[in-house]
Amino acid sequence: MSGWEFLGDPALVQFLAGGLGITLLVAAGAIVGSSVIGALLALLRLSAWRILRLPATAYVEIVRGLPSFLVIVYVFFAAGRLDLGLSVPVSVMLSLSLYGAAVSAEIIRAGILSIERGQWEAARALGLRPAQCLAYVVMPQAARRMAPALASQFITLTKSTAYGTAIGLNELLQRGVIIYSRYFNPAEVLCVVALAYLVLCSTLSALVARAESAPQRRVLAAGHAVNRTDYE
Amino acid sequence: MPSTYIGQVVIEHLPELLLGFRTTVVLSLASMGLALVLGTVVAILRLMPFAPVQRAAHLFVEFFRNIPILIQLFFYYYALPSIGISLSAFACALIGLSIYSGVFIAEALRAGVLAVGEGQLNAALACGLTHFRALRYVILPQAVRLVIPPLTNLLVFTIKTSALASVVTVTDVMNVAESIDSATFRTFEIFTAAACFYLLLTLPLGALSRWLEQRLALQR
Repeated sequence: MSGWEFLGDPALVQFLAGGLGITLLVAAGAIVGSSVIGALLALLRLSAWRILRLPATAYVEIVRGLPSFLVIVYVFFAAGRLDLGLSVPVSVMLSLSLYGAAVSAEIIRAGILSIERGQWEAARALGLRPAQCLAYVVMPQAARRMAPALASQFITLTKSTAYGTAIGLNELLQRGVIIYSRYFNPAEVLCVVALAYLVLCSTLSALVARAESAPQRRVLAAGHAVNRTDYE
Repeated sequence: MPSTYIGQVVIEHLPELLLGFRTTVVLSLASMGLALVLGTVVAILRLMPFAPVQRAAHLFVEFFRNIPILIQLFFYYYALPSIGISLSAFACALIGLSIYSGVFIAEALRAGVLAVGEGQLNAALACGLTHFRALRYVILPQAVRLVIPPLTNLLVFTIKTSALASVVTVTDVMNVAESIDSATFRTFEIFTAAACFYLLLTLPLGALSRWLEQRLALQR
């Protein structure tokens, strides 16, 4: 099959590997960005003041209802219209951070709320300030409960970086398209690109599944498996 | 043709946007229907007490779940013609979305059945019910309650994912918005309008899912 010849060309393989690097870089940026913004939104949503709670709630509800692809396109064209001078990778990272934050915020909020009131009361009774209760007592326990859902959200974000192709992000899929446009072998090239994603994401999800089936979390994992449907 | 007031461009292009919206709705609902069928079959295969079938169904799920939907759509639209199979853009999107949502549905259904628990099945069998009756009258009613809220969320997921069909030239609301934007440069108005069309579907469904979750949880 002549369609596979591109795999024998080191320059083309290197070109694809570079694309995978960009995919990973953008995904890492989106994961960090969405976690930071998501944690902030979750805290705002749990605030006692309505003035903080309402805008955060509105943001989460609206953004979660949009396709991530629309957010990517919107941010990219809007930034261009406003002359913000965002590069394509930064624009995709920003879009996926803004989008992912809305999803992560819900996971983090649910995790914090799942910790029994008694834990708060006990920590307060010991003289910890509210921020200390959160940081030293509630968060360490909540983090364990959030981990599976957050991890699968991170895998979703990694897959979503491929959508950047539509606005010219020079990542794995885009580079595959460049190669097959020249050699007219879309089936073969797309198979290789798909395989790269398959290996990357199934490794990650196998790790998540293993962490989930740790004995002390079995009951929780069953609950998560049912509730964890906010895949996008 | 300069616009005189904010939103004018949306009013002017409303007929095209509505046509696009109709495509989005039809594509999402048709995909969800097919995905439910596929998901049920795969979930049943994954729950069969026969290891090779279980493994094959599991591989199927992992395969389609871990490849970004856009690559799957590219494959159907750009690669299949090169091996002699030409499908319309809409057919490609329909197949791609059905399989992609289908594997997530399979996982939700399987999780629902597993969450009911072995104890329930054993108790029903101990009471003298046949295996079929135990499944029909004990496991199924409980599993349905568990999976209806996730299935509603998966419909939302399918609607949102359908926006990717625009990349393979399906004229859904996203695709229409992009062409109006490139003709008029009214980026904010057009994409905000497109966003509203999606929210029109996803916000009520999200609320419905939460309501169902509360209601069904109380009865359990």
